[in-house]
Amino acid sequence: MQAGGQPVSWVSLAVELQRDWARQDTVQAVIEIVLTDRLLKEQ
Amino acid sequence: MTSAPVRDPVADHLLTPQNAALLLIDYQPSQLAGVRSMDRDLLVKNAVSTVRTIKTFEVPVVHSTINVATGRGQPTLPELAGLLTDDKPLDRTTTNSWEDIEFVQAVHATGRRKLIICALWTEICMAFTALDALREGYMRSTPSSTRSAAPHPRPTGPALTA
Repeated sequence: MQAGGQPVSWVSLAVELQRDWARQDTVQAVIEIVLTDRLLKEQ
Repeated sequence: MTSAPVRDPVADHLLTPQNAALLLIDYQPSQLAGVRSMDRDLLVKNAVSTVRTIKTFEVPVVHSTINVATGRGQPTLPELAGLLTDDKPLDRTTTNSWEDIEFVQAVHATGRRKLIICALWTEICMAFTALDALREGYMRSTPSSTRSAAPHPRPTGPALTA
């Protein structure tokens, strides 16, 4: 990080690539990967 | 609630499916066994979620292992290998991936300038690779051009070094 890299979490990576929930092509897959299969399941 | 026009996905300073590549380095049983800084099951889950995301967006992957051909190491964890059937692992003997010719050629071949680096361990295989990638100008085009991905979402995980 001190050399200029930036940390990114797996959730922020998914959201950064999706960027806009109006982009329909990938939104269902992202919701499944991030929410259905992980965050909602692991509460 | 009107989205701005989609920005140029190659020139965007943030990560996009068109400007990034994933480097997945040494997610192998012996590397995982040495992890003490976070829950190992969680680490694998996070790596699986990362790779599933990358595949959803069709981001290119450079998949690499260490010491498989020498017989000292085992292949990539099956949970991940099953997602990477299109990305044949590039086996190395160098702990620094950037000192392996085929690895660097594969990174160059992606044509991407933003590298998402997932590696075990953070302070060795990720750090060496990221430092050399930064030196070569990856991620230098903008302040945020190179990223290293922690295999965990929580601030209590291992510190990142690149």
